Amino acid sequence: MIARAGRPSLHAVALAGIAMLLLAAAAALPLDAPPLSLFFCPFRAATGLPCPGCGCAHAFHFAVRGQLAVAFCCSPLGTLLAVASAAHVLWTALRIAGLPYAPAFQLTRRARWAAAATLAASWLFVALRNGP
Amino acid sequence: MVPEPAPAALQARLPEGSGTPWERRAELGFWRGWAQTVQLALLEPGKLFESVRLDKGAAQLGFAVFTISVFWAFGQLLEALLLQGQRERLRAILGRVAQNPDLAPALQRLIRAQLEESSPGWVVGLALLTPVIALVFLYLNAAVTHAVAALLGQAKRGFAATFAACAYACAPLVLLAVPACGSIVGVLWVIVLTSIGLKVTHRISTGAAAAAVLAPYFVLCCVMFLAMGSLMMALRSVARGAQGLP
Repeated sequence: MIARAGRPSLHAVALAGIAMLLLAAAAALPLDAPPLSLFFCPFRAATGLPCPGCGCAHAFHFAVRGQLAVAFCCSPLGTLLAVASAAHVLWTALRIAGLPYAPAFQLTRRARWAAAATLAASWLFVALRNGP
Repeated sequence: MVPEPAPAALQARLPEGSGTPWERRAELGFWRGWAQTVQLALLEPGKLFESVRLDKGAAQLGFAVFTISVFWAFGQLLEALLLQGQRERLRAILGRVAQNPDLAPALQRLIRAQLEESSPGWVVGLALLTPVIALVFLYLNAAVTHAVAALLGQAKRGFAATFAACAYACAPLVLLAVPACGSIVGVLWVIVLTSIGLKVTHRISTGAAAAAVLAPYFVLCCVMFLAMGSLMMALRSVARGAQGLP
């Protein structure tokens, strides 16, 4: 839902700044060189199975390059986060420029269950695709 | 995107606390306001979180970034000075272990990263970057905590309430200035204070607040436990290999 709103709050602007930082880092840093190549998932190293966040760095890397299908294959959750980050940055910039609208979510029970199911489905997808 | 509050929730989000000492630092003074806030957070957290004003996000951000960055930077420099001998010995041992071809590539990368992070250049660089790191850490922590609380249906008063709880819960990070054990005690205290803060600012039950705060840490702890286990097993197999044992 879209509702009328004033200027973005400090938190909205700060989160947009951090989202921009993450997207810029994903655009600038190569996956096969430090510091990103130094990261590894301890859960995967110990069990051979991916954790819920596995593949997010790859998903961000491909998403900022417009390769959304490849990003989705790496991690649906990561792709969703990358797209949401970009949307938040863009919308906050528009609101700072004077757009008087903002999204207004009502987190109903159904929406919460849908979010939990999306998380679980993303994890299952990555586990089946990249598991041992 | 950060959603705007629905009209029905607006009433619940209006500030009603009298303000923490830090939020009233204009009348109390900077240092007195900061010291009283830390004292309340450590000794009477319920009282502190009850006085929080949700419209003072900038003040809360300032308190957390100031507390984390000053004491973290001080702790890093102190640790680098006091534990220099031990650090050099550890670097030498890790350097030898990292060259072992039997070691898993992931473990070799981890050790190399540890070696780089403990070099003097990294220590000074990290100390200078602490305000930025503190800000990013604070917002990511608040975002994850709020997302879990929202999933559990416990985010009753919006992101500002979660942020206030997370910001003032950073008060025990003054212990980052204590070398060696300070960071462990500080982080554990932060987790407890975040639970108390979430309970008071969102007006939810203790169990719900604990569940919302502990869920991410539980996953993280499981991961860390498994990581430590795999590290110990890998080091043991390297040691056995060095002794010629099967």
